[in-house]
Amino acid sequence: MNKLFLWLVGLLNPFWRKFGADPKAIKLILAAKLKMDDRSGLAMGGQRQQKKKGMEYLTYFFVGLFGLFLVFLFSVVEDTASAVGLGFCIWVCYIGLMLITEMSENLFDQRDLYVLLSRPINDYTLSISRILHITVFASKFGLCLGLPSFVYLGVTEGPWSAIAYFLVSVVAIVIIMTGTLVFYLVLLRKVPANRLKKIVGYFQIIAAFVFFTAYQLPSLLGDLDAIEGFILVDTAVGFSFPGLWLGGLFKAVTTTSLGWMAYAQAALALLAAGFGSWFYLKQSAGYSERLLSLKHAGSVDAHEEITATRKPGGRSPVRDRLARWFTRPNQERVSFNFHWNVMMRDMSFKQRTYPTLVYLPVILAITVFRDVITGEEDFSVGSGTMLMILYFLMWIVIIPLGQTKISENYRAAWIFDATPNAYPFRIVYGQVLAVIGMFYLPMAVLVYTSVFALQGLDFLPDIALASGGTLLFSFLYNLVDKGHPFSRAKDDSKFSNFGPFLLISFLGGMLSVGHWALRSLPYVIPVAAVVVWILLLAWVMVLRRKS
Amino acid sequence: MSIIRIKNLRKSYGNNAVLKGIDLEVAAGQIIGYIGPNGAGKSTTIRILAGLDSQFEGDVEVLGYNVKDNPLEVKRRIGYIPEAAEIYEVLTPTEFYELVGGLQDLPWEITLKRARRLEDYLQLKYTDDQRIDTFSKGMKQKVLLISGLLHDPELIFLDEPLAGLDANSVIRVKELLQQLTERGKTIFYSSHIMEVVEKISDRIILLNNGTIAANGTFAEINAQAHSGSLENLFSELTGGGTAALDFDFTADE
Repeated sequence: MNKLFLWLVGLLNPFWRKFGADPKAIKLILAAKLKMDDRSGLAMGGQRQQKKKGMEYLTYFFVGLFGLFLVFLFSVVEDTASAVGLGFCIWVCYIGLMLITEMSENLFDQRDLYVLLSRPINDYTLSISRILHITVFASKFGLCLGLPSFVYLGVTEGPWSAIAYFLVSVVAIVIIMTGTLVFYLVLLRKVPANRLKKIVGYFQIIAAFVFFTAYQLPSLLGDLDAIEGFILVDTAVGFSFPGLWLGGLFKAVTTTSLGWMAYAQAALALLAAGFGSWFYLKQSAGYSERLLSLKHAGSVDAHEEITATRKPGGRSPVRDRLARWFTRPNQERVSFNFHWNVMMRDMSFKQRTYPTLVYLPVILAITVFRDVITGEEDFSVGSGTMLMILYFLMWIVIIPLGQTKISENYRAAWIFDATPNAYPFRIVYGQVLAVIGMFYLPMAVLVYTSVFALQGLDFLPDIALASGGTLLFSFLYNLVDKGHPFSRAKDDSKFSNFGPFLLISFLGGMLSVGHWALRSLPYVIPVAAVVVWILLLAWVMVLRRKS
Repeated sequence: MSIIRIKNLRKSYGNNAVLKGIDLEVAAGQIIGYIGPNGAGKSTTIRILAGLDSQFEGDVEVLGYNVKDNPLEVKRRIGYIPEAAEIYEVLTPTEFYELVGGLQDLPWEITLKRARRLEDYLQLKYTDDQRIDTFSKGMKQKVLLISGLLHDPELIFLDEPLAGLDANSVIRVKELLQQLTERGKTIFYSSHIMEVVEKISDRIILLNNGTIAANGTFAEINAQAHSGSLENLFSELTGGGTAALDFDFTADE
């Protein structure tokens, strides 16, 4: 696959040369990067490289399944070009989200700067090699997403439609790539280096939220029959989103009977791809210099005066108060403070955690308000929905808790092995309590207050059972998902906490369903709540024992 | 009294034997220079002695404890400062000391007092709320050194401790090591900087191809080889030889 891609890149050598880049250097850099991608890093304390191919293929398999779902659009929407356009809208969201949250970091990667910049390599060579590296990943995802539609169109519409779909897919990748990455390049040029990482980090979090919410909007459409007659391409609506321009391009190359608007949308798609590429290259001037300044941003130089304004740490009244309330002044508090500090300051933790925390409220809100939005029913919150909201809090703890095992700085966890760490349970206790304090407590106050407001005090036993269950399963999750804090590499851990996550999801789901089923029986919920809280307190006592 | 006792220590990574039967005894209160070519097994030996690696053959005792059976007792009593180690850079040094002190079960007041004294001694200056990710390489190395000494260990393993330090700091660290040995501490010091090893070590152990090629004071080893300096001695004993003076890597092009 890599060789094929390098060959394809080689075909465009005259093009790279025309833009002032060195095609030979581009090929060498890309070959090295792709080779490194195929080899995973070492886990903390590990001596051998771990195979990650299996997980990579599994990811592609799931993306392929999603691509299969896109074929469904052709049976729902009669107009093929509109179905293609809708499919590409999903492409733009999906690959765009992936680029923003995962791959765009490669654009700012400074690890190889000294190796590359000490060689005769100019800005264009560096920036083109970076975007091509990212393109490999986007293309692999695009291939998995598009293959089912490609086959479907080949069988139902003929080979030319399939070929056209493939060509439009290439244009789609170019638009998504340049559209996303140009924004980052502009940021790199305009924003001071010491603020850039923070801005990009928060942008990624917000973008993930926006994309995910957009992703859920189709579920608000209600009856699928309503979109059967949708014609989006070759109409005014077709100008609204790049995915639909691509639908216009598909129509332009597959049919002869089309209006001027389809031609205009096709032209827009080609223009977007062309202009995006040109603008990306134009923004590449000064790229290496900006990356270098990014590398040195925030570092102390010998001649520099130490000021108190730089990246503050240390003081946190909320942390200190919660630590005093919930932990003893031993390893419990050390662990609580340590986890709190890292969670508060590590941007990569926030990038991994915050978007996933946002997904669930979005799904929850859509589930609760769907009927109102689609106009099918009036707004009402039954006890079932209330229970769902109560148990949803479990994810508010478990998702960040899982992320406290992962870090870009995972090698720093050697300190847990090199020291006696004689009370590992206290470390675990402090870890869970820090997550509870930072994520669960604020949400719990909000949710429980709302539930009381809507349902009254009758719901108190339910809250007691759900909250006890949530906290118990949080401790249980940390028991099952072993490992030192922040000790796993991000790349090697994508599925490592999948097993514990599934287990707790299953058990938590069982508890919530059981709660709902047994709710009508007298005394069952209060008794169950007492049992769960006794179990929880017993487990906490075990963790906090003296030796 | 022997503070380290190693008998027939063997270690392999797959089929690659790294340590091929090491026998060694180290007395307390010395600075031991542990040297050898790249890949000789120095860091592996130190990891085993520090209780971080239990996958080995042979008997290893540190401070009277078998490292396989009692790694925690060993870790309580030793300090370990690995080469180019990463630390949690989003923390301030004080927060990092809090973590390390906690893991060593050290009261916070003592941790803080010792850390401040060591910082003053090593001239590590920063503002109270300044994070480690704003530090230079040398400043990070000082934080690492301090964190390894907080619990006043009896035996200290140092793997290239001077990496990244400026000349003044190197002098300070060397003085600190001397003072520690005067207080009865033992330093197990691994480095490639031969001048420093030659100057500060009471005893030198040279590891080559997974076996000990030389063991003694510099004078004792030099008496056998008459090399004049540790650098030449190292080259002779590890088969480095002298490079041909007319070497030209662009020849025959």
